[in-house]
Amino acid sequence: MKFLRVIIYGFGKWTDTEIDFTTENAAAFYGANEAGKTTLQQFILYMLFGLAPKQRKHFRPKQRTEIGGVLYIHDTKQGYVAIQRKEGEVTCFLEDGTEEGEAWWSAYLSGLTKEMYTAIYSFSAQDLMDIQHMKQKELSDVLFSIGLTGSTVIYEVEKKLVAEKEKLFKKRGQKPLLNQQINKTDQLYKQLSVEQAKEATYYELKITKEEKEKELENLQNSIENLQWETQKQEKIKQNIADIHYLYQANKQYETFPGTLSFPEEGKERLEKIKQKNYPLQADKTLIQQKQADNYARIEQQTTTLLSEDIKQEAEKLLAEQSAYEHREYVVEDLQKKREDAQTKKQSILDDLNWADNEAETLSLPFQIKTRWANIQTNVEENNRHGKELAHKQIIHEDKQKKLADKREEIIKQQLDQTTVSNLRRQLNQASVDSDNEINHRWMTWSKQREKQSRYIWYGSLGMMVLTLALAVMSEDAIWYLFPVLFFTLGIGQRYWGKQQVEELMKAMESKEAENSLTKADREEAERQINQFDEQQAELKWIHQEENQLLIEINQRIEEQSLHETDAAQLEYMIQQERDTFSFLEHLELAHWLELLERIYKLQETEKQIEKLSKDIQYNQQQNAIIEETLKGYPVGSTFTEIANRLQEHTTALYSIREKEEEIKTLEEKRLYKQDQMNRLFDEKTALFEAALVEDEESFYEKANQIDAKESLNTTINNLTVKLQVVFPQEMLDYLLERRPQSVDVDQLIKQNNEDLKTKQTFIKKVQSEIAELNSSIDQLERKEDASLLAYQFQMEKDEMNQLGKKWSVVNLAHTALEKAKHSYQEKYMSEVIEWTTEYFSAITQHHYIYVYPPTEEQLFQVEAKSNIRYTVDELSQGTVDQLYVSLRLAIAKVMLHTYQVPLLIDDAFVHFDDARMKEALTILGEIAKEQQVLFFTCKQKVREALPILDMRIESWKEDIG
Amino acid sequence: MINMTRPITFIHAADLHLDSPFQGLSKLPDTIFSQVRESTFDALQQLIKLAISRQVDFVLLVGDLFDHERQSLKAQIRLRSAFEQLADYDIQVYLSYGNHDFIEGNYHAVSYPANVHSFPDEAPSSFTFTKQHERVEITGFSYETRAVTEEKVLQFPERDPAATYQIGMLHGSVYGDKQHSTYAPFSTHQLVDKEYDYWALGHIHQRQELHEKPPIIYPGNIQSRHRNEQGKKGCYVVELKDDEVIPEFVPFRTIEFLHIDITLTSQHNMDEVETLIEEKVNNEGGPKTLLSINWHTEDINWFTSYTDGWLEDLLEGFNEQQTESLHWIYIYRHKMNWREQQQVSTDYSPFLKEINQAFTELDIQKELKDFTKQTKAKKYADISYKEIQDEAQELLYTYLHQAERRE
Repeated sequence: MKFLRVIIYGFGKWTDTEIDFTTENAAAFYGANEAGKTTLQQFILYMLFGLAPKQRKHFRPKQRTEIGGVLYIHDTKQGYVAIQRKEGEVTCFLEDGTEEGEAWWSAYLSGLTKEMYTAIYSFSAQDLMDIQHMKQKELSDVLFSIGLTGSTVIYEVEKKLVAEKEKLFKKRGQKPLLNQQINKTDQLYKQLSVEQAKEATYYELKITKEEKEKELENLQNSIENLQWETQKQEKIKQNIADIHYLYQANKQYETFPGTLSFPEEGKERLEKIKQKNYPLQADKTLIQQKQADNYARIEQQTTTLLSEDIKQEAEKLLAEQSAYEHREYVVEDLQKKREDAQTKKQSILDDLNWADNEAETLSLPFQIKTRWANIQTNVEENNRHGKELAHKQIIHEDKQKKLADKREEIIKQQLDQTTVSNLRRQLNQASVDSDNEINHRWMTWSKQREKQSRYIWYGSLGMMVLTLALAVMSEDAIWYLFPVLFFTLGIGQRYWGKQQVEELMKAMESKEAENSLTKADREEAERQINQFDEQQAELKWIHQEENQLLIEINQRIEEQSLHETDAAQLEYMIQQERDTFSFLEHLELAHWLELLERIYKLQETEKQIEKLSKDIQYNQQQNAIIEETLKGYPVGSTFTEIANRLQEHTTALYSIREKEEEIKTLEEKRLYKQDQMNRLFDEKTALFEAALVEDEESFYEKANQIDAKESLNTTINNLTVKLQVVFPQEMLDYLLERRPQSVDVDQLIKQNNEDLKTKQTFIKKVQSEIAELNSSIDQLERKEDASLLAYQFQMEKDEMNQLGKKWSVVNLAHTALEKAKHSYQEKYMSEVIEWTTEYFSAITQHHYIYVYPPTEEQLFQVEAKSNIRYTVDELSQGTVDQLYVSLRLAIAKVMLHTYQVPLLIDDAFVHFDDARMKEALTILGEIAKEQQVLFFTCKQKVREALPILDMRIESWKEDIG
Repeated sequence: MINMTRPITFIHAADLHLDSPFQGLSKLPDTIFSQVRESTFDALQQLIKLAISRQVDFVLLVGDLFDHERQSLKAQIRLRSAFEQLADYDIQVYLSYGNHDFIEGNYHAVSYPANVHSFPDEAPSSFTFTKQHERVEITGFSYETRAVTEEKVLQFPERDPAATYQIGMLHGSVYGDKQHSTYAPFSTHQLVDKEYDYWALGHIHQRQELHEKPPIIYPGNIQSRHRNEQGKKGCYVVELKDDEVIPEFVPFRTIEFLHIDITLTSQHNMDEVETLIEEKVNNEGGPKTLLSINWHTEDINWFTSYTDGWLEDLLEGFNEQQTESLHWIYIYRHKMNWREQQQVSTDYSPFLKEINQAFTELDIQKELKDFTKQTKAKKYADISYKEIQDEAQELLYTYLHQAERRE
């Protein structure tokens, strides 16, 4: 491919410019800095590969809104092609007139990228600058990797892959993620194994448990057997006597004859007959006894009976009984009454203190009671009158004395008549004065004055209080003057008023003193006169009283004498009575009537006693007659005896009749019993016949024989049944045959018990083992550690594999990249090194004769003509630059076969000395024969050397564009 | 009151793989980790509840109830208590052991209650289930050792003429399945020829109905444990009615694996990523979704945000939000695929040619031995060389391209 020319519509500082490359294979562009060299190179790259919008913006010219242009190219395959780009859009104009777009252009480039182009076919002074900053190893790598492909891209990817790889995993590392994850997974696996091993014991535990359970079952069975055997032996032991007894009983039973003739239940039946006969016999005997008894009784009763006439007589006598008894009762009652009366009589006599016979002779007139009562009344009246008179006398005497005393006293006190007359005269003189009235008027005035003075006093006090209050309220000192003023005023007035009255009183007194009779004297005189007058009047009244009293005394004395006469009369009458009745002699008159009452009562009692005595006598006589009759009566000497005898007779008669009846009934009974007994006898005879015996004795003998056999049979049966309940038949048969001894059985039981104990101990052990196993199994069943760890392990393992895969991918990518890089390098290496050597040798004017590519162990090396080898870091910067340029040129040379595109070289020889620069240019010239070269420089020195290249030189000034 | 006309029903499930850890997950947060850990048991409980609520007569479990490679006593203990629950309702269990829980490998030997009937050995045998006048013959076998490679179907007995129904239980792979280890292989027509009424299969974790009359069914596993096991998981409830067999798939609420592809353009921004994910998952995922994402973009900025970890940060934030809710989406894996419109053809680039060449010449195993043969790592290392080569190649191109673009 060859660039023919470019038309720049606008790109950076270039606008509407056309540059032609047609003439020569090599074209050099000279221009100072900022002349537009680099921009032109960028424009060419833009034409070829386009630009991202952002980058396009960078090259947008100031005068235009869009960038764009046309690149004319030619190659052997397609001929002439014009590539037009406006902004991002590309149009290719082909020789045949067709227009193509991006796709066609892309295909045309055959994978050539901008990166590849700049790496292989273009280099500049800038690349040399970058080299200088690189480190040795990098330098070597870079030197070699340049141009092989997009070297920096590979380098970058390589770096990225290595970083990722190492972050993930290192063969002997611990920190990278995968290393950590491997350890983590392994750790978990170990834990899981431990837990799984634990769980694995589950099966063993289960097996062991089953074995133990089987063992337990066996033990339990054998214990059961032992227990059963022991029980059996215990039963044998318990029943051992019965077993032996049964054996004996069987043997005995065999001694009895086979059959015995005897009625069915014969013994019982006979017993029954006998049982029935006994009461019959007994009844019969009893009846006979009763009959004999009855006959004897009748005989006896007959002797007690009375004959009819005796019986009637007795009954008649007995009828008197009640009258007799009544009279006895009456006598008794009367006697009691008589005794009472006599007691009463005696008590009266005792009261009177009389002898028993004294009253009998006494005869009293009927009016005596009235007479005695009158005397009594009169005496009483007389006595009372006497007392009244005595009393009157005392009063009269007392009164007389009092009156006399009084008169004497008055006379003693009384003034004599003369004194009284004087007094009367004096008084009559003084009473003429009106002093009394004047006096009265003064008194009235002084009272009024006193009253007035008091009112003013109260008024001034009131005012004082009022003004004091005002003063307090006003708080002004001047106000306090007023209460003082009022107080002083009040006091003054009062004092003055008092003075006035006192003066007046004094004046009046002095006026009275001027008279001959003082007031007191006159009053005294008046009082004495009055007293004298009163005394005179009293004396007069005493005199009248004394006269009256004398009259009364006279009357009383008269009555006194009359009374004494009456008293004598009465005394006489009393004496007469006492003379008549001696018993009154010492008795007070007051008791006479009372005595009379008692005497009357005494007389009445005596009469009563007499009557009672008569009644008693009569009744006693009547009963004595009956008693006489009874005496010697054959049936009985008393009413009771007679009555009893009659009763006996009646009872005997009744009894006899009763017995006779009974005898008749008993006879009927006896006959009935006899009939029954006969029937029983017949039955008994029948039984004997059946038993083939004659009498009862042999009957019982036979019965006993049968009973014994039967009893034995029962015993055998009972024992058999009893033992059959305990033992099965076969065993029973065996036991009867063997009849074991108690000692042997005991021994067996003891042995069994010992075995049992041993086994039970063992069973406990096995049970506890099973319990332990169960607990372990249960624990395992509840544990979920293994399950959890399995999940965790799986998860971590998956994570590990994911990381492993990630690492593997990165690792493999890296390895492949390395391998591709190496093979790619190898393919072109020899050729590149060949050309590098040639170019480097030429440029250094054969100072260096050989170039060695870097290997695993060593860096890039060059060999001087002295055959000494230098590594790249031992070279001067200039030599490194030359080596770099040689290498780049060599790569370009080699790669020309792949993509035939023009080389773009921008001031790459700037640091070369003249000779080496010329050599380099010469090389370029060589290359240009094969492929178009566009060379840019800003150095005058270089420009001057350019003719070596046989190229068209285009010079730009700074203002170009 | 028992409904006399109630038909016989049963549940068919397989490959419970109880307590067997999920694969391909890492760095799960605790909340999700514990849910994942319980998920197989959770699914088992759903199965038990279903059996009880549907009042089924019996439950068929066709192998791989648990894994010997990941011995777990817990698995068998939980299984036992599940069986005990069924025993309370008088529901019978017929189970066979498969290649993962083969009889000889059982270290734990937990004993199950009396309602559980397990096929004792590799010789096919039958259990009889009767209800009223109906008699069901259930024929199957158990793996005694890890591998049973014979055509076990040939040993299955002919249909019992006296039986009302006959069911075959077979844990093995159908001819033609390449994803799973070939055990007890069979072909569909071999099974049909036996004239059984139902074939209860196990072993393949992807639900498949191989045949309709009679039904020959892989119920799939009850809980996905791997990102290749996508979609709804559950069991079959089968009704035997008037000589008809009616299978019905009942999905469980389980943790689901989901893979989605999301294309990011230069029009999208970071804020929209979450919405893009959620929209996609809500259409396809379940209440609890373990998500893997393949990103596709032509925009270098998206690619850079992937390589520089920004996208990763965003997803971490997304995951953190999710773990707090009852329904969640957890992104356990994501990958960015970057393709430029005008991609450089390797044909044109001599260096890329060299790279391609280098990959073909590389001894990958040797190159990776630092990791794969590392003393500790070698025990657990499990990587696919082919996958790694592809990814490495892709990575390298992408990096180069990215670097060029950055120049």
